[in-house]
Amino acid sequence: MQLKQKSIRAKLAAATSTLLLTTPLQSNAENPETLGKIPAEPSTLKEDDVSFSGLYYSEQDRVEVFKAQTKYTKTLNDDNIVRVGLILDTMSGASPNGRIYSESENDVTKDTVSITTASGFEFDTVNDSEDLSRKTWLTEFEDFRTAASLEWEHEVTSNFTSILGGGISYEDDYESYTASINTAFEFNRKLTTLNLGAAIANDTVKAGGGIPEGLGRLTSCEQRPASYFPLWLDCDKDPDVHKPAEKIVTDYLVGVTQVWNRRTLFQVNYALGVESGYLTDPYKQISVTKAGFGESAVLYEKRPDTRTTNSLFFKFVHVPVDNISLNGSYRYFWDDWEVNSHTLDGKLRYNFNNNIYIQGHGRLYTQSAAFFFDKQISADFGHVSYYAEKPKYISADSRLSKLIGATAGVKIGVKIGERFDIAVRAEHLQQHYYNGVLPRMKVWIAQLILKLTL
Amino acid sequence: MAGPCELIIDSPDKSLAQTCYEIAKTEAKRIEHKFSRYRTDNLIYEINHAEGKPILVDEETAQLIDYANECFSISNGLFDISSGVFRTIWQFKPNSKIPSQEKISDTLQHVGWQNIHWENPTITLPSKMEIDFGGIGKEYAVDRTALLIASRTGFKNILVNFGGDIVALGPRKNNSPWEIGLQNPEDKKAFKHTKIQLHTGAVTTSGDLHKFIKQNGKRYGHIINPKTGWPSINAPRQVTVIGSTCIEAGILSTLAILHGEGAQSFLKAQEVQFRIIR
Repeated sequence: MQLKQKSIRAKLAAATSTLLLTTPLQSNAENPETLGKIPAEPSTLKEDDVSFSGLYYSEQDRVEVFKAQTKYTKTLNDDNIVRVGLILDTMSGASPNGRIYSESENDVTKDTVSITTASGFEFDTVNDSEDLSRKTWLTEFEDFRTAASLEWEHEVTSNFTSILGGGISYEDDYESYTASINTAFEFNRKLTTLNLGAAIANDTVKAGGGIPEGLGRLTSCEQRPASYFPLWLDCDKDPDVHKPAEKIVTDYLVGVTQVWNRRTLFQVNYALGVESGYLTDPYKQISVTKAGFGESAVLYEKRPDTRTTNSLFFKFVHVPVDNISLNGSYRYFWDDWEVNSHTLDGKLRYNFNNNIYIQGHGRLYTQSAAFFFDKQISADFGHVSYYAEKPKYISADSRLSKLIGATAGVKIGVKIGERFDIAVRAEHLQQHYYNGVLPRMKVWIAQLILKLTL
Repeated sequence: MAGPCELIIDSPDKSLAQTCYEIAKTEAKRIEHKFSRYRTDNLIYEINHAEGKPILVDEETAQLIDYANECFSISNGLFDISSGVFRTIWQFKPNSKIPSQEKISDTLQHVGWQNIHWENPTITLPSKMEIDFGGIGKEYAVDRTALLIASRTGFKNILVNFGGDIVALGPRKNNSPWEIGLQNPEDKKAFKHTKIQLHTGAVTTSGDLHKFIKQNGKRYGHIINPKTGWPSINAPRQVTVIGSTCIEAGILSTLAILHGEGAQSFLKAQEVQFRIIR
């Protein structure tokens, strides 16, 4: 039999007020909840959730991407969280292939392009597509990618967390396997976090029947005069086709996140990337040009087989007033291909209330060209793109050219009920390439994000 | 005072924060110096080493002894400032063993407030007995600090936290309650999600988070029942109580643990907000 407990609180309160020479802050008779509240059960925010994102990306007159992504987070127990992700995306349209771009379409020869058909890389013939024949600088393609990832977050001690991850990505002409480890050490009363991470990826580039030899001919010389070609180009030799090629990419990261005060947080990261193997893009080409004629031949590009990249990343998050947050970052990137880039990114979020927010996003990006970038290979002595000897590396891939880009976007998020979040995002990006490498690229991005807390 | 001490001041006024900090630092140091049983240069040391002689105490010490005396009486002897002697036989370190009943019985002879002669302002301890304010000293410091800040600055949007013993002088500036994370000893991450809302009042937590002996599948927490010399049977691992003052909440949570299985009904009878983790 349980004896009914007596209340000693009134006597205790009286003694306490004598001790502290004050009247108690609240008397016993009042509702104890006026002092404060302890929830009966811990609120279990650490719930499982499943999220879905659908993204539509459209470059004006060029590539279209649909990307569907789903992620499931499962908390196994207090120390272990598992995340499973699945991505399906389909890309289609026409992508710049590196061949010379001219605003006047008549300048471009109307040669038929014959190419070993690569899976995931479908070519229309001239007869099928009049349009493509005039825009030889674009390659039509269709690609389908499936990717899956698995992540295990483990709290080793109360201030040390590790995340092990693995992923696989598959396209008909490309495969990638990744493994990563990230660790976070918290100290200084959890105000400082040291992050260390490493990742390795092993990619296989299959490109249809195989990888074409760098600087090998894509088109024939068509019995044109020798003066239409650089001296080192062998018009008789067809390019060798190699078996699938591999590349290994390793990334290392060290970073510090510091909570400055209740409203401000800083982060600094340094990342080192080491790539080796086949770093060339088998679908990228470069035009051989002859003044007064135009494109006299098309060669495959060739890049170095190693690349070391570095980036320094600074970020700050500031909450000036309770319903506004600012998120600014700057990234400086440099590598031994001489690509240097600056990225300035800013987000401003306004919470109308606990359930609705709007976020504006702006981004500026600028990069220098890789040392082996050229628009073309000229057959004319004295031309800036004339190569007396066969260049060791060359690429006309616009992504390695000098460029500047700007993005503006807006995102709106709404919480519906306790467990459902929905957000929509729309962004517009324009990219300008220097020296007439390509016309300005205009991109629209629309995204829908749904999250259900289980 | 073990554990980090902090003040959270809901104001952009730096000089106010500096003033509050100085008050808190001075008061915390003063109380620690005056009442720590680990020092050899204070009155507590003198009382505990008087070998049966009466010792005259100052007014503040007398008030604390009066208070302890009252707590002893209303708790039916469960709250006893002379029970610190048990630390000589009960040690809560990894691989510590439980002491023999013989040792416990021996030690029990030197515990018991009823055997101490207290005639304000003199206290007389029989030889080998000790008193300490370990059970209320930190809570007292929190309450005193809060009251000093309130009386000297008039500012009340402030939270005083000395190693988990917390008092809110008032709510936050926008009148919303303070949110305090509660750590579950079993559930290392849950503190992120168990949020106590403290408006104006105090919250304390007692338990054996790190201090316990495990032997033969039984768990012995570090709060010893002064009547038996043993940790109470089936005690909750952790008790959190909201009270008007820190010292009151602290005594209620300690007593709840000493009530063992009856912790829940004890706290219910007190009509306080509480949370028990077993």
